[in-house]
Amino acid sequence: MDADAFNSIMIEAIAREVASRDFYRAAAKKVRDASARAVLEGLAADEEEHRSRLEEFRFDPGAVVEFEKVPEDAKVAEAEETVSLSFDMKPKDVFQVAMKKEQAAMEAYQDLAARCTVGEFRKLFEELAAMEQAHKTRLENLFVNAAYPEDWGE
Amino acid sequence: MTNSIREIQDAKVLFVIGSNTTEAHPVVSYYMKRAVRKGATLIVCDPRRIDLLRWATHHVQHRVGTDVALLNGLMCEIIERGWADREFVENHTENYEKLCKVVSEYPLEKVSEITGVDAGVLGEVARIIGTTKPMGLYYTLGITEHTCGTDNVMSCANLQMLLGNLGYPSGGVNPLRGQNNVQGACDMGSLPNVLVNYQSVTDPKAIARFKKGWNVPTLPEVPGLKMPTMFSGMLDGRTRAFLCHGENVVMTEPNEAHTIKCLKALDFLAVLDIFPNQTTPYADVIFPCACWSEQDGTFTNTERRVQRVRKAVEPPGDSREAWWIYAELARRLGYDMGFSGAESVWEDMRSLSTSYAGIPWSRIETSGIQWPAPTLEHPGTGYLHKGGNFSRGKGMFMPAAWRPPAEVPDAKYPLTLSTGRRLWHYHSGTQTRNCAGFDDLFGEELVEVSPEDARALAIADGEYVWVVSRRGRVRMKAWVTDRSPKGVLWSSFHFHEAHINVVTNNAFDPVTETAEYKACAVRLEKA
Repeated sequence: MDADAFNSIMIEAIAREVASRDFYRAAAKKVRDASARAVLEGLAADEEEHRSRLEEFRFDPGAVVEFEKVPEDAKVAEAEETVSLSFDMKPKDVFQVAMKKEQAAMEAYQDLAARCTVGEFRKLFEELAAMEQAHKTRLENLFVNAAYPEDWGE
Repeated sequence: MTNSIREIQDAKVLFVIGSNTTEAHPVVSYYMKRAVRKGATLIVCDPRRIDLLRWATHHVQHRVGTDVALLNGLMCEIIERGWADREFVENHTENYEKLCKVVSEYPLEKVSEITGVDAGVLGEVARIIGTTKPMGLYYTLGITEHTCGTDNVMSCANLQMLLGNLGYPSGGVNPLRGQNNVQGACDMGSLPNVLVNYQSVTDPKAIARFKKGWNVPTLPEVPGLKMPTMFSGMLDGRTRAFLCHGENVVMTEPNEAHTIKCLKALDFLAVLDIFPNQTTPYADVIFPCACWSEQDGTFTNTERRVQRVRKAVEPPGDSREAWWIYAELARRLGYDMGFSGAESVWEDMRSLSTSYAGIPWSRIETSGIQWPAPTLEHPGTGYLHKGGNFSRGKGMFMPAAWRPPAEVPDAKYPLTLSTGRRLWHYHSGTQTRNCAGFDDLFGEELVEVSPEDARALAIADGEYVWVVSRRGRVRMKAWVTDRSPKGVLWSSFHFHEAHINVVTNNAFDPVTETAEYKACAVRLEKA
């Protein structure tokens, strides 16, 4: 694979993680709900970890960029509306914002993969899409666990 | 239930409180027995010597209505001994300091005095649940049917959060639902404050969604009345008409005289049911309704599993499927719901419910799915709050101080009456009392009397007695047995010929408005 092209793609991917990290950090300073703030800080830490992992790939010429694949995509993010950040967000709202962001990232890479004619680059974009899909799935699970109340009456 | 029935068998400790599981939930009890066979410790907290004790390692025989004191005492001991799950408490809960402050008022010696349970037994139970995971907590109406029912439930949740037993397999806070579809009925919005999927009637976004979905200009945006308030409203004109579906209220509501007085004050009463029962004589209109085997639909069971129910035979005579009756009533009131069958009702509901959105009938042809299943691709959810994530973010400890039942024994009414269900009959008996086989198995109501109380009152086993409270009196046969402890009587409400809800108290929990069926003051008289 062309080293410059690889570097360029990885820099774009890293920049996306950095932007997400900064987005969550900034949001954490604004929300009123302490639990939502903690969730946002956790998400920022996750994005920092993703950035770090991509950096490792970028500086390891022999690395094979490969991510674990999600066996089944439950498409929870796809079924939910896009919501904007607000001061009054609760944890489930934060998860909703975050999973939609991961969905957008996944779809962006899938789109690039679909349009790419060079096999090795297509494979790289597919791997990055898989990475974002794994992030999306994790957030979907958190969202599903937080979003649905149950009634403990009779 | 936060967790699944199948997970019960893999719990290391089962903590059962206020649940006569073998009689009221026999299928669930199989999994409890299986867990015991696999080496689990079964702790049963119940004032009575219920059948489940045959498999139990520990019986915490606390006094009726002392659950909060018992649970607070266990939490006090767990905190003092350092058995709390500090990681879970720190990362997934809040209000811990308040919990510590409240439960510190319940050292084991004091709890022993309140509950009547030996402090050594309490300490041993605290040690077991404090040092063994996963521990599943299971409760039923012995927890909720008290004037402090909300405090009882919160205390159960406090205990499980303190021990870090929420959000993991085989743990959880598991209310065993009273009927096969009470979970489904609640999910569908059969509560006065929420629409389908617990969407609040005070949430403008939810109201807008439903107005659009149902194509109506307005919907009520204030919570409706709960049962006791509905009934008291019949006496002061707030409730003038009443539609009663599958609920034989004369039998199931406490204080029968009050219930009948309320029904008689109505301008209009309509009843949907499968047979004439004790409520139908007060009805202006009776809609004969198909029974479960005569209509299509779903049941959502206690573990949130949505299961298909299929029509096996046509409804007899003029009876109709429930959905048809409601749709026809709406049509005659000027609104066409546009339903063509039970599945179209389901699809309407599914379009407005995110937790059920991924469960069309085609997905549950052969096996049920547990909600939440928000998309068609989602496999369903076996246990909730995975990893300690709660709807509100962190779990909030809601500690409560113990308070006694609304009515406690005194010189005139020296005994405590508690009520419940029997294995052989179902609720008010509209179904099981119309099936001769069940009466062959258990054909007459009994009141359990302890041998000590029977001796003191010179009552023989099988002798007829009057159970008398401030609200009325009921004649039934005494069963002298050590199943009920000294000072406690117990009976069920399945038999109209000897109807225990003549004497029960209609005091209720201030939040849920669930009546205190589990404790009232009575005396026994020879009949």
